[in-house]
Amino acid sequence: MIWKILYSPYDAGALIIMVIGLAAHVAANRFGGWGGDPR
Amino acid sequence: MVGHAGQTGSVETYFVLAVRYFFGGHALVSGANHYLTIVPDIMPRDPAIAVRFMSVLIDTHLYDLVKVIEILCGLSLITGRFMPVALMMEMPVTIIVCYLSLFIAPTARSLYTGPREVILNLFLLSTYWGYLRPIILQDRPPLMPIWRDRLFARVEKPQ
Repeated sequence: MIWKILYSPYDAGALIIMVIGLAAHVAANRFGGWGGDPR
Repeated sequence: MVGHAGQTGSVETYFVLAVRYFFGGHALVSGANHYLTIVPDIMPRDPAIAVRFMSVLIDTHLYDLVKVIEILCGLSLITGRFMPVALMMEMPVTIIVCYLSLFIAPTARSLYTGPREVILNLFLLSTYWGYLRPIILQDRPPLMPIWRDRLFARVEKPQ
């Protein structure tokens, strides 16, 4: 029941994008970066 | 790695980034799925008024416009460009989704996802307080129409 409330394919996609994005930021910060957050 | 609040690499920065990627990713996936149909679109099956509302949105193609806004907002949050305006564009969609989720077609999941959308959208907007403060508090008095901005003014050549 709780699984049905918490999970949807959209959330799974969003979580994958979140993990990839954070990993890219961590890697960029550790290995020289791209000049900071581009906002 | 973990520095002071506001510094690159601080817990605060990564928390905001995580929310940004999650909210942006969700908007992009939801918007793109409407056109690519990887999984069936989430549609209310009852009550009748919710089904009617969605049918009208789809028949008038307003639903397509909503999904375009979601895609643009998602791309903006993921790429880190035009984020404050993207979050403001997304806010009406978020409010309508939340209203439908809470009051028109509530399910166990929608009672969680509706308010979540509003909280995440407002939280991300709040991280741009520096941009929003002049709009909300009106503490920057000069009223300047866009056409008077030096950005668009004709540059006069020196004599």
